[in-house]
Amino acid sequence: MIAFMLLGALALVGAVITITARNAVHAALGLVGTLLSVAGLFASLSASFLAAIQVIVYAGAILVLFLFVIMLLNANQPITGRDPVPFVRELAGIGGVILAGALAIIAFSYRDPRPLAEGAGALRGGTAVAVGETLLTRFLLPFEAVSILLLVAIVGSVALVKRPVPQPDGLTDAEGVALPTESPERTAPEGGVRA
Amino acid sequence: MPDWLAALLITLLKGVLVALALLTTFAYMTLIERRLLARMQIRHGPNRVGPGGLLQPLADAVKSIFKEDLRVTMADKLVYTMAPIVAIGMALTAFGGIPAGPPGSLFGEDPWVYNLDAGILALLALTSMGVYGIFLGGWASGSKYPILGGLRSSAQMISYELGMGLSILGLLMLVGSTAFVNIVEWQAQSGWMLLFQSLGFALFLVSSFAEVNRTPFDLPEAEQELVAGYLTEYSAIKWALFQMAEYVNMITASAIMATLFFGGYRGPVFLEGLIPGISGWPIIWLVVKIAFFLFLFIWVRATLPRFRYDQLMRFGWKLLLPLALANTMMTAAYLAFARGLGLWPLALLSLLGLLALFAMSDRVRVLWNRPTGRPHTDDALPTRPLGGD
Amino acid sequence: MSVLDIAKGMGITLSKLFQKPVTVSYPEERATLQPRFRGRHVLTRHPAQRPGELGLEKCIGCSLCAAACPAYAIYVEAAENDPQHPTSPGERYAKVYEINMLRCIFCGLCEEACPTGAVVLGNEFEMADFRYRDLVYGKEDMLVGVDGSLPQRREAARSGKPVRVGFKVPEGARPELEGVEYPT
Repeated sequence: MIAFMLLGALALVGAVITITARNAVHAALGLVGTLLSVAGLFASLSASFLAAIQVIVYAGAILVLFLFVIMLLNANQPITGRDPVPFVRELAGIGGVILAGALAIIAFSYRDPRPLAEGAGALRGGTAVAVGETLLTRFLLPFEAVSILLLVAIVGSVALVKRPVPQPDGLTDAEGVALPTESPERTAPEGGVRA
Repeated sequence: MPDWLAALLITLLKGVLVALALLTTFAYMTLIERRLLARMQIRHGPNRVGPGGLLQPLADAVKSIFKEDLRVTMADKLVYTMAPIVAIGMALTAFGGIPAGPPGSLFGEDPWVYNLDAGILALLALTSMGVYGIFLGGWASGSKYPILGGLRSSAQMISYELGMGLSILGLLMLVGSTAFVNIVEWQAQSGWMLLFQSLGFALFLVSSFAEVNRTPFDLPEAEQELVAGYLTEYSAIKWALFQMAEYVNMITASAIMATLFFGGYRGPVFLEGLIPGISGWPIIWLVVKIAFFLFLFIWVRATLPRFRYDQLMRFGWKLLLPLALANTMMTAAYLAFARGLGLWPLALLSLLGLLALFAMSDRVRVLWNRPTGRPHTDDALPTRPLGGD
Repeated sequence: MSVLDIAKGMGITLSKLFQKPVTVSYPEERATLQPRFRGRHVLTRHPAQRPGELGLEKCIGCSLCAAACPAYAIYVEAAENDPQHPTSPGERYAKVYEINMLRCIFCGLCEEACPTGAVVLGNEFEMADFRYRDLVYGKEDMLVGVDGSLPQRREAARSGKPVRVGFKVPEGARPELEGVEYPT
């Protein structure tokens, strides 16, 4: 219980830092803190596999990538000026209210977690064996769906960053968009280089 | 004294002992490395301070503690100070999970500081947090070369962590547990994991070298290109902490390799004929194996030149990762379809895979040695020159 | 197979591990020098007329060395010889002969310019010292028979031990260095 309170508080502090920090790197570090606290919460619920994976994947890989991009683009300074998206504050306000409502509903529809605690024995200390069995039997369909989703994301990102392949007539610009042809003669079939 | 307090104190004591042992090993590791490197280059190495240079680590420690602790104007003070602490903290914590003997063999106590079911996974998690030290140190220095070093190290760590994790999956499938003690006891029953997972071991070895930033993967601190990489703006004790973290990581990597593939704290059984019970001696065997791998680290450093950065990336992604995946698939398929044949056919398969890789090493080199991109041949289709009409 | 090449390289480093280091632990062991090594100058003497006597100095104070010196490191002040007790065989001799070892570039042009072969570059090189004025060597520091450099002699006087130079010349000193002997 003490561990839960402590880790929960730490997670909240990290979340607040993430939002309020002016420096993007500091914000990312706050997020790391939150993720580590959540991993600690998992561990205190004796889900050690989940905790380890949480640290490896989120804190160890994804956040490092975040930081990588922040550093690479030197984007750690806050951007001031007008928001590029219109009504962003209003939209954020509406979203916040909806989120707060959802959280309130969850909080008020609190159920006694005792049946959950009784089922904890089946987790066998949250080892990889138990998690793997559950994941690949009962939750096989969602699991595969998620992997397909990730595959789609990978293909999409590759398609986005791929440099344009030169077309036979060489009539694409740097973004790979076909150039308008002013006259039929310009689309020379011999494929000459356009000066 | 209540039981939990006693347990807590004993754990604390063990933790302090392990930290002290690691730091002493680090100190002498620097000396041993310098001496061995020197001997491999037909020199003497440091031999002035004390007999045979034995007090050199002490002199280095005094020097680095009393040097001026510089702070760069552009540095982000908090992160700049925190980075070496994170690095050394994660490095020291990671070692605590490795068992040095069977349960209860250390004066009735367990010879490890903490033991998680997730074992190797927790350790991988901790080492993956270690990258933050280097990475943030590079960024917080507020200077060009360190940030390049930090970027390199983070990209390198992420790339090779995947290969590392995948290369031990076959092993974990064989054992069916992620706890170190179970892995060691499985090896005591069936033989060293090196026999059954030789391909996996080769991949793990290479990615370990990359994970601890040692030659030939020491790009984050490549002197010829980046001054000293992420260490450029650090001095005095903070610099020493980074060095400590590097060496402690090296020791941890050696211990992991010894535990996962070389029977951990158990000695080879064939020695039992000479001295009965020799394979059961705790701690000694682990230390011997760690020493062997540390020597390997030094030996490789004395021999191999550094990768180019693009080679490093391509090596990780185009060779190491697919091979680790293939190894995983092979082991999984074997366990699923041919478990009844025993383990030796798998050992043979793995060895064959490794030998095939060696035999093909000239062919696969093209994978990581040659720059990617479209071939620039003269008969290629004409493209629009950059810069517009 | 490139793996074999790596293995070969590893084998080489391992075999070197058991080889005796080629390093010379310099202050304790003597460094080996070739006779042609150009170090501190020696002012040589003619062979002695009678045994037990010092020979005449070769230097006749002509200052050709000072003229040849590209670094302007040499200062010569000549004086007339006393006919009864000549210092050198010629009319004049060098009353003051100084070489500033901080300016000297050890090119050996003075040796080439010298008509009598008086100034010859020896093999000594351990001249590091603390003060500028101590690095301006006079006749008393360079005449044949003086062992070691100024700091070495100072150290020898302090500790009561003979001067120990840190080098050896296995082939012996050059014949031009008349009367000079180095450890072999």
